[in-house]
Amino acid sequence: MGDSTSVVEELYRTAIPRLCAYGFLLTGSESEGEEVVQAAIVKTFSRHRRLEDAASAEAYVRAAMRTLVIDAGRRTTRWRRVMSSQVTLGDGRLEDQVAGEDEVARALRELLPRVRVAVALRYSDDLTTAEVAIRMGVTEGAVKKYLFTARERLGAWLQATETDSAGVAVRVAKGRAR
Amino acid sequence: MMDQLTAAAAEHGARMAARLEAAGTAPALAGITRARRRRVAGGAAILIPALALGAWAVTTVVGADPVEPATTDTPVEITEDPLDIQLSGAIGRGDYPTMQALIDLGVYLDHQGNRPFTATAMENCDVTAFQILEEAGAPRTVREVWRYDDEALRVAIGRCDSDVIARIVDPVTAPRLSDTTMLQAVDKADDAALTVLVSAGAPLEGAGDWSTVAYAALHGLDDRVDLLLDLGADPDVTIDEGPLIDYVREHGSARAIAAVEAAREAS
Repeated sequence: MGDSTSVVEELYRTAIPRLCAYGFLLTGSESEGEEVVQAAIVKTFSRHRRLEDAASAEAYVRAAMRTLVIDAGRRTTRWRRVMSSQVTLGDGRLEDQVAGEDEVARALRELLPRVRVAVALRYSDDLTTAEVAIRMGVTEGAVKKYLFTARERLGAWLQATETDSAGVAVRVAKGRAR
Repeated sequence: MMDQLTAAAAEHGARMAARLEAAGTAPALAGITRARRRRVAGGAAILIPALALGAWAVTTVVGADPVEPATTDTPVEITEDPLDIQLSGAIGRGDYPTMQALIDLGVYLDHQGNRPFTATAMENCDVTAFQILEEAGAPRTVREVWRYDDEALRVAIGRCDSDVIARIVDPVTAPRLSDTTMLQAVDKADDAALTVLVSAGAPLEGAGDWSTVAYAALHGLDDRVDLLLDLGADPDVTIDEGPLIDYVREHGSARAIAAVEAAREAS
């Protein structure tokens, strides 16, 4: 693991603030974001990939973070379906009491994981909606729908400098609600 | 670009990064190590049952006998007979691999009855077998029977040609060869073999006791008398019957007497 160690250390020195910001965007939580960053680094380097430097490793880690967030969302949904009667949420949310909690975090957490991933790809990675669709493996229309939902929830933080051409009206299709 | 959103994310990210940097890379590296171990263990968990299933399929479907061991290509065949008897047979057959296998098994090499294994090798003038045995530590004589003599050489004399004699004669022990061996050499060895022995240091006489010249003269081997004198036999030696010249005059031919007298005059 000699080579991996040096790349991980370089990653920590050079890219960890960016990855953490990315993790916050994907989760809406500092603690969850940190866990996602750690888990993504472990996932990336445990597969014996030949990662020569931190720059190339960062791209892999970002992709792993998106996958982890979407998978976690799917798992949660599945458990809620199976164990719906067993899961009860209290009146106060634990996240509201921990450090780093604010309006942005609350607004992000109200979004579905795949919507947060679309936001991260669109506004953090600066990809077009078509590129976001390719990365997520969904249609461009679905991406526009995700971004439309995000703009609705994150209006206070997005509308101030809204120049995004993707902000077209999106017709929400009638279908199953997820 | 959503400056406010990215700025908020960057602000949170900075706090998160500070915490992660404080913890260092150790947790991540430990996690990577654990994950790699799990991957290896997972591979083994799949591979081992797959191999077991494959073995079961081979034994039941193909019909292989799981008890039957794999064929071992044994280079030699070792029987239940005593190892020294097997070694003696292998020497006689010139079966070097079996000889080596028996030596590796720990056969007792000191002797077989009254004859050393090296002497058995010389019965066929087999120098290779002789060398294998000697390298393994087999003696040339049985000390209880042939206290000082080289029994292997004694067997070779008169049976093997001078090349074989030259390869097995030991210059260290040759000077201690007994009268029995040397008289046998006079009687049976050819000129070349006799010359090899004497050149290696074998004695031609024992002062006050015996002389190869006396033996040759007694048995009418006049050519040998000439050769032995040429090889350095002492014409003035005294044997147990008295001076050599007197013995030759009594028992030898005129030619032998003349040769010994000439040698005495020359010395």
